[in-house]
This record gives sequence, structure tokens and C-alpha cells, in this order.
Amino acid sequence: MSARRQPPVLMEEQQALTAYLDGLLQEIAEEEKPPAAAPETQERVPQPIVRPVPAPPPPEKKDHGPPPWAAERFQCLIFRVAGLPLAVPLVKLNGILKMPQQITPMPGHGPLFMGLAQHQGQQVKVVDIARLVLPADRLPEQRPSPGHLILIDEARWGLACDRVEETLTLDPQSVRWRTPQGRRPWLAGTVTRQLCAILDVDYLAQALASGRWD
Amino acid sequence: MAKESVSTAPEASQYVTFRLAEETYAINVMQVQEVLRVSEIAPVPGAPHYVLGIINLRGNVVTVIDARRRMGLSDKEPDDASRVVIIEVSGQVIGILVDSVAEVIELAAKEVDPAPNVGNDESSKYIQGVASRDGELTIVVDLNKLLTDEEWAEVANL
Repeated sequence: MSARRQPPVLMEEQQALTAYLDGLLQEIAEEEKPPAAAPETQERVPQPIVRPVPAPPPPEKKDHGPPPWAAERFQCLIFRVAGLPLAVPLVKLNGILKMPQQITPMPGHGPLFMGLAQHQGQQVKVVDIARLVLPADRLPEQRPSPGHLILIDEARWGLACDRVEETLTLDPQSVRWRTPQGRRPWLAGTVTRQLCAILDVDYLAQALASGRWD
Repeated sequence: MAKESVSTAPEASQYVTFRLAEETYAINVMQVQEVLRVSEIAPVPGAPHYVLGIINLRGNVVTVIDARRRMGLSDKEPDDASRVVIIEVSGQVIGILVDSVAEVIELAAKEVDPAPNVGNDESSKYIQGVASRDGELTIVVDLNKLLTDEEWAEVANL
């Protein structure tokens, strides 16, 4: 009989996610150490003539502290991805869509890019954000079908999420903000009380488009 | 002030559409020579994985590539609907195996949105753009970029 399902599995998943979020918090705490200064060399060496190569601008590095949108109290939308609570600041949110029936997969792309959905005559690039924010070994084998798309960057990108939860009004002081040394550049900060990761939406959009995560 | 012509119809081109893994793709009709039912394809040992083999087309040897494999899609056994589309790219003639051929459509340049810019994945450079038709997206393929220069050369020398 399959009447008794296994709550321990769910518990393990929950524990794993909590451990992951704890890891994020710890990582942010560890980042407080200043980086070792690089030795300076004053030797003048003839510079080779280098032809400038047009390259996409690298995503901006952030200074320590809250981003401009969090200078004062701000609101975030909480949504859940593979069990993990994530947040986007409302000022950076362009809309929420029910997961479209039709998503056209684009060949030649990795699983992070699920395909294109149409919204008001515009193509929305649908991203399986769980694959970015969760390590591969933390991705549950069985995931619920995404319920909604979180639209960012003028609705160019849609982040597939399990479900949308609530909005929170936060003080900048209630968030541990990511420092420039952080290993997860998509992370703006972590809400300590709610154990929730706030996405750096601007960085995310730039990095998704360029494929550069440095 | 110069008189503007009112009959400036947007530049339109005709495309042959085909299906692959439930999605619709379009290629410029000017590059399509003919569409064949799948006949005997002789495998070529040592050929790249996306090369199915060669066929004899009225005395000429034509290399056939599997569009699904080339685009990283799952394999599918050819069936009655499968077709080999004979195309010409820069003087080189090859066949591409597709799930089925659908129709010829006309697309104005402005109807084709640029290819989705996601990451720097080289393997999707052949996507020229996407066009919305009847609520569905059609993926427009730039056949010139279906293979790299080295791959075109390799296919030519099979």
C-alpha cells in the first residue's frame, strides 16, 4: 500500500535547503575579511599595441552595503523555487505571469534556459532559476511544475518558480548584504529572519544575457 | 520634403517550415533545392555524430545530417512523415533530416525578432531569430551557420 508516504524525505529536503541558506549566511559573514593587497610594481614596460576588441561590459561589481533601491525601507516579493525561498525587490519586478502553456524551447542552449514564452507581443526568455541558485546535488529529482513566471528586466526574462508567496517590507539593516568578494554574484543579500535570498536582479539579467558570471 | 512612397511593403522573404521535436523551424526557400522522402542512407564510418550518411541523388553523392542531433535534440527514428531537405549553402549541397516539412510561409523582416541572447553559447548561433505566427513561435534558422566553417569543410570531404 502506498498510503503512507515518506515524510522523512521531505524533512531531509527541508533540512538540506536550510543548510544551504545557512551556508549563504555564513559565506556573507566570512566575506567581511578584507582581501590581501596585491603587490605593486612600478616598473615601466613598453606596452604592446593591442587592438581594442569590443566586448560586452562586465556586470557591475557592487560596493559593500545595500544597493540604491534598499537605501530606505523597501518591499520584496517572496517566491519559492525548488523549496527555496527567494525574493526580488518590488522596484525591480515587472510582473508575475501564470506559467504559460506554450514555451518554445530553443535548441543549442543549456537547461538553464527553458525557452521563449510570449507575453503582450514580446518574447520572454524563461529561466529555470533553480538551476542557478541551487547546487546540482541539491536540486530535487522530482520538482513540481513551475506555477508562475517572475518577470524582470522590462519583462525580457521570466524566472520560473513553484509558487508566489507574499510581499515583505524590510529595513536595509535586516538584510545581510553581499560583499564584492561573494562567490554568488546573483545574490544581493540574505534576509536573516526569513532565511530568504534576495536576488540581484540587475546583475542577473546582465549575466544571463552575456553568459559571464564574474 | 521628399515624397514618401506609400507602397513600401516591408521586405519579405519566403521560408520553408519544418518540424523538429514538436517545434516549427523555418529556412530560407532560396536555399532549398528539393524535399525528399527518406530513402536508404549509407552510413559513413568516422563521420561526425550529426552526419547520418550519404545518399545518391541522381548520380551525385549528398551528405545527410540529422537536424535533431545537430541541434542537440533527442534522437527519433525516421517515419513516414520524415523528410530530407536538400539545401545549398555557399555552393555546397547537403541534406538535412527533419521530422516533417510543413509549408512555405512569407515573413517580413520586421516579423522576425532577433535570436534570444542567452549566454554566449556558440552552439545556438544558427538561430537567426524567432517569428510569432498564430500564437506560436517559429524558429528561423540561418543555414550558413548551421555548421562552422571547419564542419562545412569536413562534411565536404566525406
